[in-house]
This record gives sequence, structure tokens and C-alpha cells, in this order.
Amino acid sequence: MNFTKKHSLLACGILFMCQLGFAQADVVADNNSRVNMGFYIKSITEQASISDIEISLNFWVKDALAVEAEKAGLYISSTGAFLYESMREMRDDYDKGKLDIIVAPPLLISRYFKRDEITDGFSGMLEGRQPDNLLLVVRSDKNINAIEDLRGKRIAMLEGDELSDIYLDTLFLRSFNKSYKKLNPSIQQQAKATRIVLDLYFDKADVGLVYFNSYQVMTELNPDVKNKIKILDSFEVRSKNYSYINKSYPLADEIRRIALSFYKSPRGKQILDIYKTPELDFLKVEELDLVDSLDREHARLLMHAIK
Amino acid sequence: MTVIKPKRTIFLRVFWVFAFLVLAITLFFAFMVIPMQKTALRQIMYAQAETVSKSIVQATSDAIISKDYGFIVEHNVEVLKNNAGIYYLIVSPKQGDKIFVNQKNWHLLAELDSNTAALQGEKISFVITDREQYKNVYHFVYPIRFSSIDWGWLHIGFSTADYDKYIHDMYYKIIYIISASLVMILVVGFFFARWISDPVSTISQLATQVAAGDLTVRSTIARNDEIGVLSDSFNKMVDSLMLSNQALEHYNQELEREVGTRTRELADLNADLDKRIKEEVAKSKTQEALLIHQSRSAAMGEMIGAIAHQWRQPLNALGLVQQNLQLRFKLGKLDESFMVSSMEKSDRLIHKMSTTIDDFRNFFKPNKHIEPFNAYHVIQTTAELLDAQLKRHNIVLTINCPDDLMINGLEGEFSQVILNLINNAKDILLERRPLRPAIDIGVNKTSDQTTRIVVKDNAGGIPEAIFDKIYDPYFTTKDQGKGTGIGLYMSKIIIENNMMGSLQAFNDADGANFVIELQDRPIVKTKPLI
Ligand SMILES: Nc1ncnc2c1ncn2[C@@H]1O[C@H](COP(=O)(O)OP(=O)(O)O)[C@@H](O)[C@H]1O
Ligand SMILES: [Mg+2]
Repeated sequence: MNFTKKHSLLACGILFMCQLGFAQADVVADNNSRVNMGFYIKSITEQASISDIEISLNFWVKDALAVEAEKAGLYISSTGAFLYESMREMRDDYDKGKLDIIVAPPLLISRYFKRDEITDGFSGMLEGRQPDNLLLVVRSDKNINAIEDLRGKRIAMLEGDELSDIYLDTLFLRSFNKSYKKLNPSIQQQAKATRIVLDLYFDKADVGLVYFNSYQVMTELNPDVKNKIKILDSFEVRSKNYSYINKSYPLADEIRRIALSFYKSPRGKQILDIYKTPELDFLKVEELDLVDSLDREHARLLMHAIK
Repeated sequence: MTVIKPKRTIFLRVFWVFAFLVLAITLFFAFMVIPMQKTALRQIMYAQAETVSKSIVQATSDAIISKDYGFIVEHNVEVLKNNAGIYYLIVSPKQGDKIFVNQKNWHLLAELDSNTAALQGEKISFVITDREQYKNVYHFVYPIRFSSIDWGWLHIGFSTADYDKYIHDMYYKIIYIISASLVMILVVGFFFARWISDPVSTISQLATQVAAGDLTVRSTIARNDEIGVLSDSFNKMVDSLMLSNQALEHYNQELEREVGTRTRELADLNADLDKRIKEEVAKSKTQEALLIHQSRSAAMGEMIGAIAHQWRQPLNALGLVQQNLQLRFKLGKLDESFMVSSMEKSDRLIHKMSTTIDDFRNFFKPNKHIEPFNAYHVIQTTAELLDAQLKRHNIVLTINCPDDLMINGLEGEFSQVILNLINNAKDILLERRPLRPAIDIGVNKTSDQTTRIVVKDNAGGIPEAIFDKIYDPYFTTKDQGKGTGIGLYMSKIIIENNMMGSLQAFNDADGANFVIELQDRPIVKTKPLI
């Protein structure tokens, strides 16, 4: 029930946003002072509710960004926020020259965009500028000390998080030359990382893949979590979502500068709060290298894997 | 004209009554509202707690059944995140660890503390308590039950801050309302009281001026209500007062004239009256003197009768002595010894008669000195004067009196009273003639200061019809020439005026009793009587 409701809302929101976006985009397509942002929606629903996203995206792009830009002496005449459920669509719109900024998980960006198509952007970060690494966590009492011990264990992971998938798969392929899906019959997909931690805590799963932030939040909520769950391995990643700017966007530097100083204004802070990040950090295109190499390794291992 | 200080009594009364009423009503409502609001709030809290509990249990029911604690924690963390008014939440299954969730963290509890565990019953329960860092927690316990299986309990610790704030707000509001009504009382009450009292005090002031005699004042209050009517009436009243005052003044002058005339007439009359009173007084004095004289004569007459009786026997005896002397002389047998014995006899008889006279003379001798005298002696002597008469009629007189009893007063007057009383008794005894006529005189002290003398006879008493009249002067039932009607009158005057005593009579079975009561104290004689 909850699920369908969420989806219908999402659909409505997207429909609304898209119409809005199209209408404005058509009129001011050639205007240099526009800001159009594309969001890969699956990657942000975990952090915020759909209604928050709707409101904040509108606010962020249409209002806050424009207002902040105006402060910097930049007049933004048109704004647009576009939500995408598939990267393919985002890519298509990007090719049409409709998007100035893209927001999506690094793995997907690296898969769908060439390095010379995009330029440096920004990303969210954790308190204390820590990277939001992807963690492989296990129950302490299950005697799991190496990847080799993971065989046949109950796995809990984030629904639709491709990084988690290829990361775990790579680890399994390295050790067993077999995909984890073949060795482990129990794989639970959870919508929220915190839920994964809880499932491990209450012994509903033995292995979990969570981002550092979720794990940290859970240990803060219940310090006993640290006793029951330990970190077996991790993959370095800045944030779940990376934002890059269209290489051909003329206001790239200005917009980046504005985004990086968002935390200084109350409006900006409000938006950052919704995404649970204290400030935005400068993000180089090269930072896609790590996920890119993982993706390549995974592909290579998969080719040689025991079918 | 004197300056009249305006009285503020009505103003104050109206003001205080108004103040009291407004304040009383305000306070009454305020303090009616407080408990009502409190219960309403508690009910709301209860209902809210129940709703929250129900929704949690409903949302987590699947998880509870499938023992999906992760979901339970997740859901409750979410619930707490969205309800700042909930301090903590405990999911307490009958068996196994309990999940404690608060705004900051969550953890498992092996056991509940005994106080909290005690709240877990079949029904919803709640308590307001302090728990760890939480003060005044509304701790609500909701039993979780699935198809009649008691699974456990859900504890929710609600913050009472909102409730307290509401109550505080309410108190502040009430204080505010009371302050507002105090201000209102002061302001509105002042004007209201003044509106009521001002015209009244104005009129009262005017009335005071009118009362002080100034009839030129008029009320200028023009209002369309009772006070306006009062003001009009006041003016009319003063108008008519002025008219009547003029009329009165006129009458007054008339009256003064009249009074002048009358006064003169009265003065004349007065002078005349004075003269007449003097005349009357003189007349009555003469009458009194006459009365006294008559009384004296009567007494004298009675005395003479008594002397006549006393003398009869010695006179006879003297006659016999004389006849014997004459006979002896004729017979030539008048010798010296007979002569001597006859002379002695004569001398004795004459002496006796002379003594009688002396006695009477003593009796009548004006005795103006108040001095103590022996009661028995005086009564005895007085009775002896009548001895002859009494003996002749076989009347037995007994005197019962202590030898040494002294009476303070005029001896002569007192014996005159006794004589009167004995005489009256003798008269009535002769008239009624009882078988054994007797007169008893008893004297005794009834108290330290009172001496009581009773003269009692057995002639049947004083007729009822004349009881009131016996002391009147000239009242007598006796034949003309026999009674004077002065005896008891004089006796009463002597006893009551001259001796400060009392003379009373009563009848007993035998006859009349005349009672004299005398006080042992110095007598101030008001006027000489006899
Ligand atoms: N002891 C008595 N018993 C009955 N009547 C008496 C007695 N003493 C006085 N009275 C009545 O009181 C009357 C007045 O007495 P009193 O003043 O002495 O005048 P008087 O003896 O000259 O009649 C007598 O006439 C008699 O009727
Ligand atoms: Mg008499």
C-alpha cells in the first residue's frame, strides 16, 4: 500500500516537474542564463521523502540557486528541475542539450557519460569531511573474518544500489570466482540502509552493505550496534550522488562557486539539511576513476567467472 | 452657610458591590474552568496516547508477529522523530528483550524496572512520573494483543510539556483575565459608581443645604431616569418647602402675637393661682391643725373617760372613809387612832387618784425628744390606763414583750397609738361580745433592725367592705358621739410619718390584727405633729 502510494506521488511529481521543465526549457532553450538540473531519482529517495524532493528541487533550482546567483551578480532567467527514473532518459535529454547539471550515483555517471562531456562539479559530504564509504558489515558473532567466510550467509543490501551490487559481486568473484547471487540464497533488498543495520543487529541477516553514514547514524542511535556488527571491508566513495556540470555550460564556474558557498546562506542550509549534508564539496571529474576501475574489474571477472 | 463635606458612602458602596460582583463572577468562572480544562486535557492526552499506541501497534503488527525487530525499531525511531512530544517508547514483549527507543538512541533492555513492569496489566494504564532524565512523563502502557494472544505491551512516555504549558497558559490567562477585570473594576466601577452616586450625593448635598435652611438651592441634574425624576421632585419639594416656609413664618408671627397675649394672661392667671394655692395651703394647714386638735380632743375625751373609770373606785372609797368619820364623830367615837387611820386611808386614795392624773398628764405631756424607750414599760403603762374599763367588761389583756426591748422614737406618740389600738379592740369587743373577750399585744424583733408589735383581738375582724377606709380621717362605724374616725388616721401618721415605720391590719380566724413595724434607725422627724 505504502509502496504504490509513494509511486503515484512520484509519478505525479515527475509529471508536474517535467511539464514545467519542458515548457520553460522550450521557451528559453538558447538562453545562456538558465539552470536546468537533471536528477536520477532512485538515488535520492533514500535520503529524503518524495514530497521533500519535489519541494526542495523546485526551491533549490528555481528559487535558491537563482537568488544566490543573483547575489553573485548572475541573473538566472529560467530554471528547471528534471527527475529521471532511468539513466537512459537522462542521457537522451543531456544529448539534446537540455541539462546543465546532472545528479546521479558515481557508478552510473561513469557508465553513461564520457569524461570529456562533463566538467568538475560538487558533491555532498559527511560531517568532518569524511567520505561516505560503502561498507561491508557482518555480524560479529558469526565468526566471519574474511570474504571467504561469506559463502551461504544471509545478505541484506540496498535496493537498486548498483555500486553495492558490483562491489559485493567483485569481492565474491575475486574469492570464489562466482557471483554472490549464486552462493547465497538469502539476499534481502532493503529500501533503507539503516534497516540493513537493524536486520543485522536483530539477526535477520549476517552480511550487509551500507554506506558509512547510515552505519554511523545507527551506531550513534544504539552504541550496542558496534558490538554486534563489525566492518569487514569498505570501498571508498565520496557520496552516494555526484553532481557534474555540462562541459558546454557557460556558467559552470559561477554555479559551482554558488553551490559550494550554499552552506553560508540560510536558504542553502535548508536545502542541504534535507539531503543531510553540511556543505557541498568541490568534485573533480577524475574522482570517477575509482568506481570506474571497480566497474571494469567486475566486468573482467564476470567474463571469467564460473557460469 | 456652612460648607458641607460631600459624603462618598453611596459611591463606595456601589463601587465595592460592583467590584465584588465582577471579581466574584470572574473568579468563579476562572476556578470552574480550571478543573474542567484539566480533565479535558487529560482526556485528550489519553485519547492521543491511545491513538498513537494503536497506530504503532497496527503499523508494526506484521513485524511483531514475524519478530522483525528491525522494522519495529525503524518504525518507532521514525515515530519519535516525527513526534517531539514523545520522550521514549518501550516495546515490551512478554518474553525476550525489550526495545527502548528515545529521541536520541535506542537499546535493548533485559528487564523493565519493577515500577514500570507493574504497570503492565490487561488494561491500558498510565501514570505521571519521573523517569531517568525525563520529568513529569505521561507514561502510557498499551497492551498488545493479537487474536486474544497477549503478546506484550507498548509503553510510551509522553512529554507533559504541552499539557503543562497549556495549564500554565491557562493560569496566565486567568491571571490576565482577573487583572483585566481588576482594571475594569477600577475604571468601569469608578465611572459606574460615580454615575450612580454623583447625582445622589449632589441631591443629598443640596438636601443637606436645604436642611441647613438654604431654600434657594435647586438641582441642575437633567437625566432621563429615576434620578432625573428625583431631581425634579427635589426641586418641586424645595419650592413647596419655600412656600410652606413663608406660610409658616406668617403663622409664626401670628402665633408669637397670640403667645404674647396668652403669656400675659397666663402670668396673670399664675399670679392668681399662686395666691389661691397659698390660700388653699393655709386652709389645709388650718384643717390639719383642726384635725390634730380634734385628735387630741378625742384622745383627751377618751382619757377623761378612762380617768373617770380610774377614779370611781378611790372616790367611792374616799366617800366611805368620810361617811365613817362622820358616823364616828356623831357617835363620839372619833378617836385619834381612827382619825389617823382614816387620814392615812384618805391620803392613800388621794395619792392614787393624784398618780392617775399624773399618769395622764405624762401621757399628754408633749414629748418632743426622740430617744430610746422601753417597749414593755410603755405598753404596760398605757394598758394600765385602761385597766379599769377592761376589767369591768372581763376583757383579758396580755402583753408578750421582752423586758429589755428598746424602741427609738417619741414615747408619747407611740403610747397614743397603742392606746388607740387597745381602745378600738375594746370597742369592737363590746360591740360583738365574744365569749372570752381578749386582747393580745405581742412584741418581738423579726430581724436585727425590725421590731414588730401586734395588737390582736378576737372580735371577728374588720369587715371586708371597710378595709380600705379605716385609715381615712373621720371614718367611723360607731354611733354618733362614740366614734370620731380619727384614731387610726392619727396612728398611721404617727407610725409612718413620725417613726418611719408601717401600720397595717389583717384579719385572722379570731379577729383583727394591727401590725406596727419599726426600723431600728435614727428617725428624722419631718414635721412636728402633735
Ligand atoms: N380592732 C378592730 N376590729 C374591727 N374593726 C375595727 C377595729 N379597730 C377599728 N375598727 C374600725 O375602724 C373604724 C375607725 O377606727 P378609728 O379611726 O379608731 O375611729 P373610731 O374608733 O372613732 O371609730 C372603727 O369605727 C371600726 O369600725
Ligand atoms: Mg378609735
